[in-house]
Amino acid sequence: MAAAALTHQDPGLQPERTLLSWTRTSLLLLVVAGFMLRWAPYHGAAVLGLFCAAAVVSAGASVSQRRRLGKAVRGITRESYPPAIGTVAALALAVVVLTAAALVMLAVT
Amino acid sequence: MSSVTSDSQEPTPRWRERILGGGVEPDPRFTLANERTFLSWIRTSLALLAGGVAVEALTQQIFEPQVRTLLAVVLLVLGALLGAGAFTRWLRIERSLRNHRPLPLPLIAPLLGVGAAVITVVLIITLVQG
Repeated sequence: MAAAALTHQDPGLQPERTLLSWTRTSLLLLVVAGFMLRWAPYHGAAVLGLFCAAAVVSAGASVSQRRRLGKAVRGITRESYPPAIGTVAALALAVVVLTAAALVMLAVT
Repeated sequence: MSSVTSDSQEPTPRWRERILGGGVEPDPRFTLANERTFLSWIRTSLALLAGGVAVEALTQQIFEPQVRTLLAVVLLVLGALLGAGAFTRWLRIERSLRNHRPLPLPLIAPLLGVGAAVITVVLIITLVQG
């Protein structure tokens, strides 16, 4: 994608702020999933699998950043931005599953 | 990148239309702001999850086992509720934006407030007694 395609006229810098918001969130997801490794001595494979799944979600969010920025910029220039239903739902689901898993591990350890 | 230059917008697929509750497309800035707000709630939820794990893992010498478990469970349940609530709120806001309705009240905000208060009270009681 040419850099010119990423220029826009939004003085509120919405595409950039949204991009950074996703970056902060995906980094935090990875860090918190790392916290869960605390249970690795008790439930090795399950915890490792959980961490890897969270890492995949986090990496997926990072890899698609450029595409997301392009969408946001196009949204601003065209005055039409389709809400990211799938990504939002996937991230919320990942967080809920991770928390539920933490509760289960808390209960059985 | 012909898709960037073309002015025609793809029609919204039926399933998206159904989830978003019809209406007309709002200002893209509002949708992006809603997305960032959702992400903020998700980070809050993740912070509570981290807190729950940390309390369980790092306070073995500080709290009685029951208190430790109680604090961790409250933090984790709160985190799960906020994670699910973040998505619900995102969707409800998006629907309101599309239909020019007033934005829904954030039910997860008092939930977070009460949860934080409960945790603090438990901590104070524990510290005073200890």
